[in-house]
Amino acid sequence: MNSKERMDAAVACKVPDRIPIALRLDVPAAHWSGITSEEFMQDPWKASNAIEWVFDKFGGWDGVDNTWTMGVRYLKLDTYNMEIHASRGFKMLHVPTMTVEDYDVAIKEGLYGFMKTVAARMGKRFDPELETEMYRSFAPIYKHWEEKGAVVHRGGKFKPAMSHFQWARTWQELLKDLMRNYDKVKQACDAMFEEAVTAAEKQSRLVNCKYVFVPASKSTLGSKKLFEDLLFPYLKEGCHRLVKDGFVPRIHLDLDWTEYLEYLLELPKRSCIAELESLTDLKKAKEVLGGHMCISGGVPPGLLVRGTPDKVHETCKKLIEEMGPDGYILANDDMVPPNARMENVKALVDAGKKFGGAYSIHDRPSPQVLRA
Amino acid sequence: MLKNLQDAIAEINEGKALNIIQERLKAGENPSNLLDTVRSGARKAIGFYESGRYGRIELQMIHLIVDQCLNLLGSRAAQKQPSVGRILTGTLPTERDEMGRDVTPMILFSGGFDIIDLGSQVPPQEFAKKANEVNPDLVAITGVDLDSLEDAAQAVLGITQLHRTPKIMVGPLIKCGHELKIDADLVKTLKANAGWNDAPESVNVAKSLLERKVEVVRA
Repeated sequence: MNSKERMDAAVACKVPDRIPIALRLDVPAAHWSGITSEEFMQDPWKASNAIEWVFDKFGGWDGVDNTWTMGVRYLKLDTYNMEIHASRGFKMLHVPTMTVEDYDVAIKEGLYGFMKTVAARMGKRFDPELETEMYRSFAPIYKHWEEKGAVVHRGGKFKPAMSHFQWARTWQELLKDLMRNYDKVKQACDAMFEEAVTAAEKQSRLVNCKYVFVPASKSTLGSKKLFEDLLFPYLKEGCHRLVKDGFVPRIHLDLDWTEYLEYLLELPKRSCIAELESLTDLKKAKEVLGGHMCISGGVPPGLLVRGTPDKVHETCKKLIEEMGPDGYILANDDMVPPNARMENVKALVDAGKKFGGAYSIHDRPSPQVLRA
Repeated sequence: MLKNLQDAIAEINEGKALNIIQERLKAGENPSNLLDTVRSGARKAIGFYESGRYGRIELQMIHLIVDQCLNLLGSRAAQKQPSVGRILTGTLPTERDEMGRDVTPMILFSGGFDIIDLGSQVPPQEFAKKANEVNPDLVAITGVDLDSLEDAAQAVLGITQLHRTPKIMVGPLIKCGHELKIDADLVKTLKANAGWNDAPESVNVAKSLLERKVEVVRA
Protein backbone atom coordinates (compact mmCIF):
# COMPACT_ATOMS: atom_id res chain seq x y z
CA MET A 1 0.00 0.00 0.00
CA ASN A 2 1.11 3.57 -0.56
CA SER A 3 0.44 6.36 1.93
CA LYS A 4 -2.84 7.32 0.29
CA GLU A 5 -4.18 3.77 0.36
CA ARG A 6 -2.98 3.35 3.93
CA MET A 7 -4.71 6.54 5.10
CA ASP A 8 -7.88 5.66 3.19
CA ALA A 9 -7.94 2.21 4.79
CA ALA A 10 -7.53 3.71 8.26
CA VAL A 11 -10.33 6.24 7.68
CA ALA A 12 -12.60 3.44 6.49
CA CYS A 13 -11.71 1.48 9.67
CA LYS A 14 -10.09 -1.23 7.60
CA VAL A 15 -6.75 -2.91 8.27
CA PRO A 16 -3.91 -1.33 6.25
CA ASP A 17 -0.58 -3.02 5.52
CA ARG A 18 0.87 -0.82 8.21
CA ILE A 19 -0.66 1.68 10.58
CA PRO A 20 -0.26 5.10 8.96
CA ILE A 21 1.88 7.72 10.65
CA ALA A 22 0.98 11.42 10.75
CA LEU A 23 2.73 14.42 12.22
CA ARG A 24 1.43 17.90 12.91
CA LEU A 25 4.68 19.74 12.74
CA ASP A 26 5.31 23.46 12.37
CA VAL A 27 8.10 25.65 13.76
CA PRO A 28 10.29 22.81 15.06
CA ALA A 29 10.78 21.96 11.39
CA ALA A 30 11.99 25.52 10.83
CA HIS A 31 14.44 25.33 13.72
CA TRP A 32 15.77 21.89 12.74
CA SER A 33 16.20 22.77 9.08
CA GLY A 34 17.87 26.09 9.78
CA ILE A 35 15.29 28.72 8.87
CA THR A 36 13.70 31.23 11.23
CA SER A 37 10.15 31.14 12.58
CA GLU A 38 9.52 34.37 10.68
CA GLU A 39 10.49 32.74 7.39
CA PHE A 40 8.35 29.73 8.22
CA MET A 41 5.34 31.90 8.98
CA GLN A 42 5.64 34.28 6.07
CA ASP A 43 6.69 32.07 3.19
CA PRO A 44 4.62 28.93 2.53
CA TRP A 45 7.19 27.41 0.16
CA LYS A 46 10.02 27.90 2.65
CA ALA A 47 7.83 26.38 5.37
CA SER A 48 6.98 23.43 3.15
CA ASN A 49 10.68 22.96 2.34
CA ALA A 50 11.46 22.93 6.05
CA ILE A 51 8.90 20.19 6.64
CA GLU A 52 10.22 18.34 3.62
CA TRP A 53 13.75 18.52 5.05
CA VAL A 54 12.47 16.74 8.17
CA PHE A 55 10.36 14.36 6.07
CA ASP A 56 13.42 13.26 4.09
CA LYS A 57 15.62 13.06 7.16
CA PHE A 58 13.08 10.76 8.84
CA GLY A 59 12.63 8.64 5.72
CA GLY A 60 9.10 9.96 5.26
CA TRP A 61 5.76 9.33 6.88
CA ASP A 62 2.18 9.16 5.61
CA GLY A 63 0.04 12.10 6.76
CA VAL A 64 1.54 15.59 6.47
CA ASP A 65 -0.26 18.60 7.93
CA ASN A 66 -0.42 21.76 5.83
CA THR A 67 1.26 23.91 8.48
CA TRP A 68 3.10 25.75 5.69
CA THR A 69 -0.12 27.69 5.15
CA MET A 70 -0.46 28.59 8.81
CA GLY A 71 1.43 31.87 8.97
CA VAL A 72 -0.07 33.40 5.85
CA ARG A 73 -3.58 32.33 6.88
CA TYR A 74 -3.16 33.76 10.36
CA LEU A 75 -1.64 37.00 9.22
CA LYS A 76 -3.86 37.71 6.24
CA LEU A 77 -7.17 35.94 6.75
CA ASP A 78 -7.87 35.36 10.40
CA THR A 79 -9.58 37.80 12.66
CA TYR A 80 -7.65 37.59 15.87
CA ASN A 81 -4.66 39.44 17.18
CA MET A 82 -1.47 37.54 16.84
CA GLU A 83 2.14 38.27 16.14
CA ILE A 84 5.07 36.25 14.89
CA HIS A 85 7.05 34.79 17.73
CA ALA A 86 10.64 33.57 17.54
CA SER A 87 10.26 30.24 19.34
CA ARG A 88 6.59 29.38 18.88
CA GLY A 89 6.04 30.73 15.41
CA PHE A 90 3.13 32.85 16.53
CA LYS A 91 1.73 34.29 19.69
CA MET A 92 -1.89 35.16 20.33
CA LEU A 93 -2.19 38.57 21.91
CA HIS A 94 -5.54 37.95 23.59
CA VAL A 95 -6.76 41.41 22.82
CA PRO A 96 -10.32 41.33 21.50
CA THR A 97 -10.72 42.19 17.85
CA MET A 98 -14.44 41.54 18.05
CA THR A 99 -16.94 43.58 20.02
CA VAL A 100 -20.16 42.42 21.59
CA GLU A 101 -22.02 44.21 18.78
CA ASP A 102 -20.39 41.92 16.23
CA TYR A 103 -22.79 39.13 17.19
CA ASP A 104 -25.47 41.27 15.55
CA VAL A 105 -23.30 41.66 12.45
CA ALA A 106 -22.95 37.87 12.30
CA ILE A 107 -26.70 37.40 12.76
CA LYS A 108 -27.48 39.82 9.92
CA GLU A 109 -24.59 39.16 7.54
CA GLY A 110 -23.30 35.67 8.25
CA LEU A 111 -19.69 34.50 8.42
CA TYR A 112 -18.23 36.63 5.66
CA GLY A 113 -19.97 39.79 6.86
CA PHE A 114 -18.65 39.08 10.34
CA MET A 115 -15.11 38.49 9.09
CA LYS A 116 -15.18 41.59 6.93
CA THR A 117 -16.25 43.75 9.87
CA VAL A 118 -13.70 42.36 12.29
CA ALA A 119 -10.90 42.39 9.71
CA ALA A 120 -11.64 46.04 8.88
CA ARG A 121 -11.31 46.91 12.55
CA MET A 122 -7.87 45.31 12.46
CA GLY A 123 -6.90 47.32 9.40
CA LYS A 124 -7.14 44.28 7.13
CA ARG A 125 -9.18 43.63 4.05
CA PHE A 126 -11.20 40.46 3.93
CA ASP A 127 -13.37 39.16 1.18
CA PRO A 128 -14.04 35.72 -0.24
CA GLU A 129 -11.92 36.53 -3.29
CA LEU A 130 -8.87 37.07 -1.13
CA GLU A 131 -9.48 33.70 0.45
CA THR A 132 -9.80 32.11 -2.97
CA GLU A 133 -6.57 33.69 -4.22
CA MET A 134 -4.71 32.54 -1.15
CA TYR A 135 -5.85 28.92 -1.32
CA ARG A 136 -5.18 28.85 -5.04
CA SER A 137 -1.60 29.92 -4.29
CA PHE A 138 -1.25 26.95 -1.89
CA ALA A 139 -2.31 24.41 -4.52
CA PRO A 140 1.14 23.86 -6.13
CA ILE A 141 2.57 22.93 -2.73
CA TYR A 142 -0.16 20.32 -2.27
CA LYS A 143 0.66 19.01 -5.72
CA HIS A 144 4.34 18.80 -4.79
CA TRP A 145 3.57 16.69 -1.71
CA GLU A 146 1.24 14.48 -3.69
CA GLU A 147 4.02 13.83 -6.21
CA LYS A 148 6.28 13.00 -3.31
CA GLY A 149 3.83 10.30 -2.29
CA ALA A 150 2.66 11.83 0.98
CA VAL A 151 -0.93 12.61 1.92
CA VAL A 152 -1.66 16.16 3.01
CA HIS A 153 -4.47 15.41 5.41
CA ARG A 154 -5.74 18.92 5.73
CA GLY A 155 -7.17 21.15 3.04
CA GLY A 156 -9.77 23.65 4.18
CA LYS A 157 -10.99 24.34 7.67
CA PHE A 158 -14.57 24.11 8.88
CA LYS A 159 -14.46 26.55 11.71
CA PRO A 160 -17.65 26.67 13.74
CA ALA A 161 -18.66 30.12 14.99
CA MET A 162 -17.57 29.43 18.56
CA SER A 163 -14.10 28.78 17.27
CA HIS A 164 -14.05 32.28 15.73
CA PHE A 165 -15.47 33.88 18.85
CA GLN A 166 -13.08 32.31 21.33
CA TRP A 167 -10.11 33.90 19.55
CA ALA A 168 -11.54 37.12 18.13
CA ARG A 169 -13.51 37.96 21.24
CA THR A 170 -10.98 36.29 23.62
CA TRP A 171 -11.99 33.52 25.96
CA GLN A 172 -12.52 35.80 28.94
CA GLU A 173 -14.91 38.09 27.06
CA LEU A 174 -16.69 35.13 25.47
CA LEU A 175 -17.41 33.78 28.95
CA LYS A 176 -19.06 37.08 29.84
CA ASP A 177 -21.05 37.00 26.61
CA LEU A 178 -22.25 33.49 27.38
CA MET A 179 -23.41 34.68 30.80
CA ARG A 180 -25.01 37.90 29.61
CA ASN A 181 -26.01 37.37 25.96
CA TYR A 182 -26.34 33.65 25.52
CA ASP A 183 -29.23 33.79 23.05
CA LYS A 184 -27.39 36.23 20.85
CA VAL A 185 -24.27 34.05 20.78
CA LYS A 186 -26.42 31.10 19.79
CA GLN A 187 -28.17 33.07 17.03
CA ALA A 188 -24.80 34.14 15.67
CA CYS A 189 -23.66 30.50 15.66
CA ASP A 190 -26.74 29.60 13.63
CA ALA A 191 -26.22 32.48 11.22
CA MET A 192 -22.56 31.67 10.50
CA PHE A 193 -22.96 27.92 10.07
CA GLU A 194 -23.87 27.66 6.40
CA GLU A 195 -21.02 29.79 5.10
CA ALA A 196 -18.58 28.04 7.44
CA VAL A 197 -19.33 24.74 5.72
CA THR A 198 -19.23 26.11 2.18
CA ALA A 199 -16.01 28.04 2.90
CA ALA A 200 -14.30 24.86 4.14
CA GLU A 201 -15.42 22.93 1.08
CA LYS A 202 -14.30 25.71 -1.24
CA GLN A 203 -10.86 25.84 0.42
CA SER A 204 -10.39 22.09 0.13
CA ARG A 205 -11.47 22.08 -3.51
CA LEU A 206 -9.04 24.88 -4.34
CA VAL A 207 -6.10 22.81 -3.10
CA ASN A 208 -7.54 19.55 -4.39
CA CYS A 209 -7.58 17.89 -0.99
CA LYS A 210 -10.47 15.84 0.37
CA TYR A 211 -9.58 16.38 4.02
CA VAL A 212 -11.18 19.20 5.99
CA PHE A 213 -9.82 20.22 9.36
CA VAL A 214 -12.54 20.66 11.97
CA PRO A 215 -11.34 22.28 15.19
CA ALA A 216 -13.51 21.34 18.15
CA SER A 217 -11.14 22.85 20.68
CA LYS A 218 -12.38 23.42 24.19
CA SER A 219 -15.72 21.78 23.35
CA THR A 220 -15.63 19.51 26.37
CA LEU A 221 -14.63 22.20 28.83
CA GLY A 222 -18.16 23.15 29.71
CA SER A 223 -21.14 21.19 30.90
CA LYS A 224 -22.86 18.63 28.71
CA LYS A 225 -25.81 21.01 28.53
CA LEU A 226 -23.62 23.66 26.93
CA PHE A 227 -22.01 21.07 24.66
CA GLU A 228 -25.37 19.76 23.48
CA ASP A 229 -26.79 23.21 22.86
CA LEU A 230 -23.99 25.33 21.53
CA LEU A 231 -21.23 23.07 20.25
CA PHE A 232 -22.21 19.58 19.18
CA PRO A 233 -25.13 20.44 16.85
CA TYR A 234 -22.80 22.40 14.55
CA LEU A 235 -20.06 19.79 14.72
CA LYS A 236 -22.52 17.03 13.88
CA GLU A 237 -24.35 18.81 11.10
CA GLY A 238 -21.10 20.16 9.66
CA CYS A 239 -19.46 16.72 9.52
CA HIS A 240 -22.54 15.13 7.94
CA ARG A 241 -22.57 17.84 5.29
CA LEU A 242 -18.86 17.49 4.56
CA VAL A 243 -19.06 13.71 4.24
CA LYS A 244 -22.14 13.93 2.05
CA ASP A 245 -20.21 16.28 -0.24
CA GLY A 246 -17.26 13.87 -0.49
CA PHE A 247 -14.89 15.26 2.13
CA VAL A 248 -13.16 13.63 5.09
CA PRO A 249 -13.52 15.65 8.29
CA ARG A 250 -10.41 15.49 10.42
CA ILE A 251 -11.85 16.52 13.75
CA HIS A 252 -9.41 18.00 16.21
CA LEU A 253 -10.67 16.89 19.61
CA ASP A 254 -8.22 18.28 22.09
CA LEU A 255 -8.39 17.93 25.87
CA ASP A 256 -10.36 15.10 27.46
CA TRP A 257 -13.23 13.56 25.45
CA THR A 258 -13.61 10.40 27.53
CA GLU A 259 -17.09 11.32 28.77
CA TYR A 260 -18.14 12.61 25.34
CA LEU A 261 -17.07 9.70 23.13
CA GLU A 262 -20.60 8.37 22.66
CA TYR A 263 -21.60 11.61 20.93
CA LEU A 264 -19.09 10.85 18.17
CA LEU A 265 -21.14 7.80 17.22
CA GLU A 266 -23.66 10.29 15.82
CA LEU A 267 -21.10 11.44 13.25
CA PRO A 268 -20.85 9.70 9.85
CA LYS A 269 -19.60 6.14 10.00
CA ARG A 270 -16.12 5.24 8.70
CA SER A 271 -15.71 8.64 7.09
CA CYS A 272 -14.02 10.89 9.65
CA ILE A 273 -10.83 11.06 11.68
CA ALA A 274 -11.15 11.68 15.42
CA GLU A 275 -7.91 13.41 16.30
CA LEU A 276 -7.75 12.69 20.01
CA GLU A 277 -5.09 13.34 22.60
CA SER A 278 -3.74 11.09 25.30
CA LEU A 279 -5.73 13.12 27.85
CA THR A 280 -8.68 11.09 26.59
CA ASP A 281 -8.80 7.47 27.71
CA LEU A 282 -7.75 6.10 24.32
CA LYS A 283 -8.48 2.49 25.22
CA LYS A 284 -12.04 3.50 25.98
CA ALA A 285 -12.10 5.55 22.77
CA LYS A 286 -11.21 2.42 20.82
CA GLU A 287 -13.91 0.42 22.61
CA VAL A 288 -16.54 3.05 21.83
CA LEU A 289 -15.47 4.22 18.38
CA GLY A 290 -13.75 1.14 16.97
CA GLY A 291 -15.28 0.19 13.63
CA HIS A 292 -17.12 3.52 13.51
CA MET A 293 -14.41 6.15 13.35
CA CYS A 294 -10.69 6.26 12.74
CA ILE A 295 -8.73 7.54 15.74
CA SER A 296 -5.53 9.52 15.37
CA GLY A 297 -3.04 10.67 18.03
CA GLY A 298 -1.84 9.43 21.38
CA VAL A 299 1.84 10.44 21.59
CA PRO A 300 1.98 13.17 24.26
CA PRO A 301 3.94 16.36 23.63
CA GLY A 302 5.66 16.02 27.01
CA LEU A 303 7.18 12.76 25.85
CA LEU A 304 8.59 14.44 22.75
CA VAL A 305 10.20 17.12 24.93
CA ARG A 306 11.27 15.29 28.08
CA GLY A 307 11.35 11.68 26.94
CA THR A 308 13.92 9.55 25.18
CA PRO A 309 13.71 7.66 21.88
CA ASP A 310 13.37 4.41 23.84
CA LYS A 311 10.41 5.76 25.78
CA VAL A 312 8.81 7.02 22.57
CA HIS A 313 9.25 3.55 21.03
CA GLU A 314 7.66 1.94 24.07
CA THR A 315 4.68 4.32 24.00
CA CYS A 316 4.14 3.89 20.24
CA LYS A 317 4.33 0.11 20.46
CA LYS A 318 1.70 0.09 23.20
CA LEU A 319 -0.51 2.49 21.25
CA ILE A 320 -0.29 0.35 18.13
CA GLU A 321 -1.17 -2.78 20.08
CA GLU A 322 -4.12 -1.16 21.80
CA MET A 323 -5.46 1.02 19.00
CA GLY A 324 -4.68 -0.98 15.85
CA PRO A 325 -4.68 -2.63 13.51
CA ASP A 326 -7.81 -1.08 11.97
CA GLY A 327 -8.91 2.55 12.11
CA TYR A 328 -5.87 4.05 13.76
CA ILE A 329 -3.29 6.65 12.73
CA LEU A 330 -0.20 6.90 14.91
CA ALA A 331 0.33 10.61 15.51
CA ASN A 332 1.51 13.18 17.97
CA ASP A 333 -1.07 14.92 20.15
CA ASP A 334 -1.92 18.45 19.05
CA MET A 335 1.26 20.08 17.67
CA VAL A 336 4.86 18.90 17.99
CA PRO A 337 6.03 21.32 20.74
CA PRO A 338 8.58 23.97 19.77
CA ASN A 339 11.10 22.50 22.21
CA ALA A 340 10.59 18.85 21.16
CA ARG A 341 13.76 16.84 20.60
CA MET A 342 14.19 15.84 16.98
CA GLU A 343 15.39 12.33 17.91
CA ASN A 344 12.16 11.79 19.85
CA VAL A 345 9.97 12.83 16.93
CA LYS A 346 12.03 10.63 14.63
CA ALA A 347 11.53 7.80 17.11
CA LEU A 348 7.75 8.19 16.68
CA VAL A 349 8.08 7.76 12.93
CA ASP A 350 10.55 4.88 13.27
CA ALA A 351 8.37 3.11 15.81
CA GLY A 352 5.34 3.42 13.54
CA LYS A 353 7.26 1.74 10.73
CA LYS A 354 8.77 -0.90 13.00
CA PHE A 355 5.68 -1.92 14.97
CA GLY A 356 2.80 -0.64 12.83
CA GLY A 357 3.05 -3.45 10.32
CA ALA A 358 4.03 -6.15 12.75
CA TYR A 359 0.81 -8.02 12.13
CA SER A 360 -0.12 -9.81 8.95
CA ILE A 361 -2.81 -8.22 6.79
CA HIS A 362 -4.52 -11.58 7.05
CA ASP A 363 -4.75 -11.21 10.83
CA ARG A 364 -8.19 -11.12 12.23
CA PRO A 365 -9.44 -7.52 12.46
CA SER A 366 -10.36 -6.18 15.85
CA PRO A 367 -13.70 -7.24 17.36
CA GLN A 368 -15.14 -3.82 16.56
CA VAL A 369 -14.63 -4.40 12.84
CA LEU A 370 -16.17 -7.86 12.98
CA ARG A 371 -19.10 -6.48 14.92
CA ALA A 372 -19.67 -3.56 12.55
CA MET B 1 -31.96 36.78 51.25
CA LEU B 2 -28.46 35.37 51.81
CA LYS B 3 -29.64 31.98 50.59
CA ASN B 4 -30.73 33.79 47.41
CA LEU B 5 -27.22 35.17 47.06
CA GLN B 6 -25.72 31.74 47.47
CA ASP B 7 -28.08 30.36 44.81
CA ALA B 8 -27.53 33.27 42.43
CA ILE B 9 -23.80 32.60 42.48
CA ALA B 10 -24.16 28.86 42.17
CA GLU B 11 -26.70 29.23 39.35
CA ILE B 12 -24.47 31.71 37.47
CA ASN B 13 -26.91 34.57 37.79
CA GLU B 14 -24.43 37.42 37.74
CA GLY B 15 -26.88 40.34 37.78
CA LYS B 16 -28.91 38.93 40.65
CA ALA B 17 -25.85 38.14 42.77
CA LEU B 18 -24.42 41.64 42.40
CA ASN B 19 -27.80 43.28 43.07
CA ILE B 20 -28.27 41.35 46.28
CA ILE B 21 -24.85 42.37 47.54
CA GLN B 22 -25.43 46.01 46.72
CA GLU B 23 -28.84 45.97 48.40
CA ARG B 24 -27.62 44.18 51.50
CA LEU B 25 -24.65 46.50 51.90
CA LYS B 26 -27.01 49.47 51.59
CA ALA B 27 -29.25 47.89 54.23
CA GLY B 28 -26.30 47.63 56.61
CA GLU B 29 -25.51 43.92 56.33
CA ASN B 30 -22.20 42.87 57.83
CA PRO B 31 -19.82 42.40 54.83
CA SER B 32 -18.28 39.40 56.57
CA ASN B 33 -21.62 37.59 56.42
CA LEU B 34 -21.89 38.37 52.75
CA LEU B 35 -18.34 37.12 52.19
CA ASP B 36 -19.27 33.86 53.88
CA THR B 37 -22.27 33.55 51.59
CA VAL B 38 -20.21 34.26 48.48
CA ARG B 39 -17.85 31.52 49.62
CA SER B 40 -20.68 29.07 50.16
CA GLY B 41 -22.14 29.97 46.74
CA ALA B 42 -18.80 29.16 45.13
CA ARG B 43 -18.62 25.94 47.12
CA LYS B 44 -22.08 24.95 45.94
CA ALA B 45 -21.04 25.59 42.32
CA ILE B 46 -17.96 23.43 42.77
CA GLY B 47 -20.29 20.72 44.06
CA PHE B 48 -22.16 21.03 40.76
CA TYR B 49 -18.84 20.62 38.95
CA GLU B 50 -17.98 17.54 40.96
CA SER B 51 -21.39 16.01 40.28
CA GLY B 52 -20.93 16.60 36.53
CA ARG B 53 -23.58 19.30 36.16
CA TYR B 54 -20.99 21.99 35.48
CA GLY B 55 -17.76 21.97 33.53
CA ARG B 56 -14.73 24.21 33.68
CA ILE B 57 -16.45 26.89 31.60
CA GLU B 58 -19.14 27.26 34.23
CA LEU B 59 -16.46 27.40 36.95
CA GLN B 60 -14.77 30.22 35.07
CA MET B 61 -18.08 32.08 34.97
CA ILE B 62 -18.47 31.56 38.71
CA HIS B 63 -14.96 32.94 39.12
CA LEU B 64 -15.94 36.09 37.23
CA ILE B 65 -18.98 36.54 39.47
CA VAL B 66 -17.07 35.86 42.69
CA ASP B 67 -14.40 38.37 41.68
CA GLN B 68 -17.02 41.05 41.17
CA CYS B 69 -18.71 40.18 44.47
CA LEU B 70 -15.38 40.48 46.30
CA ASN B 71 -14.73 43.82 44.62
CA LEU B 72 -18.06 45.09 45.90
CA LEU B 73 -17.32 43.85 49.38
CA GLY B 74 -13.80 45.24 49.28
CA SER B 75 -11.61 45.33 52.33
CA ARG B 76 -14.63 45.63 54.63
CA ALA B 77 -15.06 41.89 54.52
CA ALA B 78 -11.42 41.00 54.83
CA GLN B 79 -11.18 41.06 58.58
CA LYS B 80 -12.42 38.61 61.14
CA GLN B 81 -12.83 35.79 58.71
CA PRO B 82 -11.86 32.39 60.07
CA SER B 83 -9.32 31.11 57.60
CA VAL B 84 -8.04 27.62 56.98
CA GLY B 85 -4.76 29.16 55.92
CA ARG B 86 -3.26 31.93 53.86
CA ILE B 87 -2.39 31.10 50.28
CA LEU B 88 -0.41 33.15 47.82
CA THR B 89 -1.25 32.16 44.27
CA GLY B 90 -0.45 33.27 40.75
CA THR B 91 -0.08 31.99 37.21
CA LEU B 92 3.33 31.81 35.56
CA PRO B 93 3.99 33.73 32.34
CA THR B 94 2.86 31.82 29.31
CA GLU B 95 2.74 32.42 25.62
CA ARG B 96 -0.49 30.43 25.56
CA ASP B 97 -2.62 32.55 27.84
CA GLU B 98 -5.73 31.61 25.94
CA MET B 99 -8.11 30.32 28.56
CA GLY B 100 -8.74 33.43 30.58
CA ARG B 101 -8.02 33.45 34.27
CA ASP B 102 -7.22 30.31 36.15
CA VAL B 103 -10.01 29.30 38.50
CA THR B 104 -7.66 28.07 41.23
CA PRO B 105 -7.92 31.25 43.38
CA MET B 106 -11.72 30.97 43.41
CA ILE B 107 -11.56 27.26 44.22
CA LEU B 108 -9.16 27.81 47.10
CA PHE B 109 -11.28 30.72 48.33
CA SER B 110 -14.31 28.46 48.37
CA GLY B 111 -12.31 25.99 50.47
CA GLY B 112 -12.03 28.58 53.24
CA PHE B 113 -8.56 29.87 52.50
CA ASP B 114 -7.47 33.45 52.65
CA ILE B 115 -6.23 34.22 49.12
CA ILE B 116 -3.64 36.66 47.88
CA ASP B 117 -3.93 36.44 44.12
CA LEU B 118 -1.05 37.73 42.01
CA GLY B 119 -3.09 37.13 38.84
CA SER B 120 -1.71 35.90 35.55
CA GLN B 121 1.64 36.36 33.75
CA VAL B 122 3.48 36.48 37.10
CA PRO B 123 7.29 36.53 36.69
CA PRO B 124 8.86 33.68 38.69
CA GLN B 125 10.75 35.94 41.10
CA GLU B 126 7.50 37.69 42.11
CA PHE B 127 6.33 34.66 44.07
CA ALA B 128 9.26 34.83 46.52
CA LYS B 129 9.12 38.61 46.71
CA LYS B 130 5.44 38.64 47.61
CA ALA B 131 5.74 35.60 49.89
CA ASN B 132 8.42 37.44 51.85
CA GLU B 133 6.04 40.34 52.24
CA VAL B 134 2.78 38.56 53.13
CA ASN B 135 4.12 35.44 54.82
CA PRO B 136 1.67 32.85 53.43
CA ASP B 137 1.26 29.31 54.72
CA LEU B 138 1.30 28.01 51.19
CA VAL B 139 2.18 29.16 47.69
CA ALA B 140 0.10 27.73 44.85
CA ILE B 141 1.88 28.20 41.52
CA THR B 142 -0.36 27.63 38.52
CA GLY B 143 0.34 27.71 34.79
CA VAL B 144 2.95 24.97 34.78
CA ASP B 145 3.45 23.89 31.19
CA LEU B 146 6.18 22.55 28.94
CA ASP B 147 7.04 26.16 28.11
CA SER B 148 7.14 27.30 31.72
CA LEU B 149 9.02 24.50 33.46
CA GLU B 150 12.12 26.63 33.96
CA ASP B 151 10.06 29.48 35.35
CA ALA B 152 8.28 27.08 37.69
CA ALA B 153 11.60 25.71 38.97
CA GLN B 154 12.91 29.25 39.41
CA ALA B 155 9.79 30.32 41.31
CA VAL B 156 10.06 27.32 43.64
CA LEU B 157 13.77 27.89 44.18
CA GLY B 158 13.17 31.53 45.10
CA ILE B 159 10.55 30.59 47.67
CA THR B 160 12.66 27.85 49.24
CA GLN B 161 15.44 30.38 49.81
CA LEU B 162 13.23 32.54 52.02
CA HIS B 163 13.92 32.68 55.73
CA ARG B 164 10.51 31.17 56.46
CA THR B 165 9.58 28.76 53.70
CA PRO B 166 5.91 28.14 53.03
CA LYS B 167 4.71 24.91 51.49
CA ILE B 168 4.59 24.98 47.69
CA MET B 169 2.18 23.29 45.33
CA VAL B 170 1.99 23.43 41.56
CA GLY B 171 -0.83 23.12 39.04
CA PRO B 172 -1.03 22.94 35.23
CA LEU B 173 -1.64 25.60 32.64
CA ILE B 174 -5.14 25.23 31.32
CA LYS B 175 -5.01 25.70 27.58
CA CYS B 176 -6.74 24.46 24.49
CA GLY B 177 -4.00 22.09 23.45
CA HIS B 178 -2.51 19.30 25.47
CA GLU B 179 -2.19 20.11 29.15
CA LEU B 180 0.90 18.99 30.97
CA LYS B 181 0.06 16.36 33.54
CA ILE B 182 1.44 17.14 36.95
CA ASP B 183 2.76 13.84 38.25
CA ALA B 184 4.97 12.85 41.18
CA ASP B 185 8.11 12.98 39.04
CA LEU B 186 7.41 16.51 37.91
CA VAL B 187 6.64 17.66 41.46
CA LYS B 188 9.94 16.18 42.56
CA THR B 189 11.83 17.72 39.63
CA LEU B 190 10.44 21.14 40.47
CA LYS B 191 11.22 20.57 44.18
CA ALA B 192 7.66 21.49 45.15
CA ASN B 193 5.76 19.72 47.92
CA ALA B 194 2.68 18.71 45.97
CA GLY B 195 0.73 19.16 42.80
CA TRP B 196 -2.75 18.95 41.37
CA ASN B 197 -4.27 18.48 37.93
CA ASP B 198 -7.95 19.36 38.20
CA ALA B 199 -8.38 22.71 39.99
CA PRO B 200 -11.04 21.53 42.49
CA GLU B 201 -8.48 19.02 43.79
CA SER B 202 -6.31 21.93 44.89
CA VAL B 203 -8.37 22.47 48.05
CA ASN B 204 -7.72 19.00 49.43
CA VAL B 205 -4.11 19.08 48.32
CA ALA B 206 -3.64 22.41 50.13
CA LYS B 207 -5.39 21.16 53.26
CA SER B 208 -3.30 18.00 53.29
CA LEU B 209 -0.12 20.02 52.92
CA LEU B 210 -1.01 22.33 55.73
CA GLU B 211 -1.62 19.31 57.90
CA ARG B 212 2.06 18.58 57.17
CA LYS B 213 1.38 15.75 54.77
CA VAL B 214 3.87 16.23 51.99
CA GLU B 215 4.32 14.83 48.50
CA VAL B 216 0.62 14.86 47.78
CA VAL B 217 -0.02 14.43 44.10
CA ARG B 218 -3.40 13.82 42.63
CA ALA B 219 -2.33 12.54 39.27
